[in-house]
Amino acid sequence: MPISRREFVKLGAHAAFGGLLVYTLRGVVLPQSAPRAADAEGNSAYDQYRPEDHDWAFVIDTMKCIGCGRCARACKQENNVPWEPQCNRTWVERYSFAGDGEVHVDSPEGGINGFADEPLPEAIRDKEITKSFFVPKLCNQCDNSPCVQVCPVAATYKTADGIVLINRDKCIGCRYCIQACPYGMRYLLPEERVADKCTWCYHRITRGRLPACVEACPVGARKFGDLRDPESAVSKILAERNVSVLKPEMGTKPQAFYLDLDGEVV
Amino acid sequence: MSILIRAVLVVALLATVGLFMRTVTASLSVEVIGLTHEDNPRWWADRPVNNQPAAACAECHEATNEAITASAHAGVNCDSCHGAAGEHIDLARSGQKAPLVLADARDLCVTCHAALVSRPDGFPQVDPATHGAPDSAITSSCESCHNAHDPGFPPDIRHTLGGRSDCLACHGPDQWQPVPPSHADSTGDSCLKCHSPGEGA
Repeated sequence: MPISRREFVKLGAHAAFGGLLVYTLRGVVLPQSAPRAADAEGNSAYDQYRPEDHDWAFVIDTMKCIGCGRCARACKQENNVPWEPQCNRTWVERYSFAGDGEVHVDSPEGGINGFADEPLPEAIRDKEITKSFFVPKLCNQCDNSPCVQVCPVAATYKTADGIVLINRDKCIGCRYCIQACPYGMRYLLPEERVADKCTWCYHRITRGRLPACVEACPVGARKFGDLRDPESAVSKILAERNVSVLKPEMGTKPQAFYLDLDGEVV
Repeated sequence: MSILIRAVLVVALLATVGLFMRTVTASLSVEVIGLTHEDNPRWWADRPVNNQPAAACAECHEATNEAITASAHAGVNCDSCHGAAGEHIDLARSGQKAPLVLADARDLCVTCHAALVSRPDGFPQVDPATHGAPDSAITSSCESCHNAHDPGFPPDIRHTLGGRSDCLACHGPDQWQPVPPSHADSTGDSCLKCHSPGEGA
């Protein structure tokens, strides 16, 4: 049946209006996830915590690290990070410089068993080692986070106290953030099929405790604190000493700072 | 011509209505559909704590905690060697048996103290293959000589003899700490004639 131009336009207008109406009401009819309580009584330490009052920062002293990997192990236990397949929220890398200029980086199993089983990386075992040291890695909680920017469903976000978190209810597991992170900090949880990464132990720092890796470090190579507190260890270090960040050219503004970082470390 | 004007008018009308609706719906959808994360930081903050500070262990292990906090291992948290104690402490506080599995102590010691070129100079390191008394039974366990909870620096070797009767295992001529030359005349005598267990050097 042929229809007149007027009727066609009216139909189009109605369809457009209907579409807008559905779009408007979509949020009203979608179910909201109920708030989760910490314990049976519904008490949570988070009730007393004010994110706006904190600005967390991390300092890593590469000259102190002994490569024992207690940090990476404590992190796995603390955050139930899967042991298989290998994924780590934090790990320790060993940089070895050979006399002929070759730089070798290795991190067997993320360093969770230390490096004593392999005193030198196999690739340069026969060469003269001129310099070698350990570099612990963890999420930089970038102020200008590529992972937050690329998430197509806004499942990952930055909290008021500066931690990048992932909303598992919203993550669709597209892996775009894993690609986007210049530091390789993110991985896909094999069972949940959602992205995961280091949160600087958000459940500990919001309770006034240290991240598990900081507490586990026997030599004080990892320091954590609040930049809003001028007396905190990290505030003093940032005020008094030269620090650097990983891949500054990426413009990500990391909040994890390194002391005495070798120029070759990436 | 009039058709064109009408078409433009219809598009303009739709665009205006659309933009208006958008401003109304945007704030609504951000909150309701969930582009903000009101509950999510709380979800992360409420996750259970597994690793415990030494203070929690000291509730029961007071003497051990006192010894280690006064020693060169003061910075080593209990969990670093004994594993995350969250479940262990929960069980112990409710009065139940609370086993805590400890891996081979020797493996644990070398994790930090095996000599590696990558470790900072000045950090105490040994070559596990040659350290101690070679070819003797005591190389099998660091704890034969060292106390992990009170290692001392330099380490205070235990001389309680702890079941060992053979002094020469460590103090023989080719061993870790050979007897001084002045002892040459004493060969054959029992060490215990002059030294008592527990005396130290």
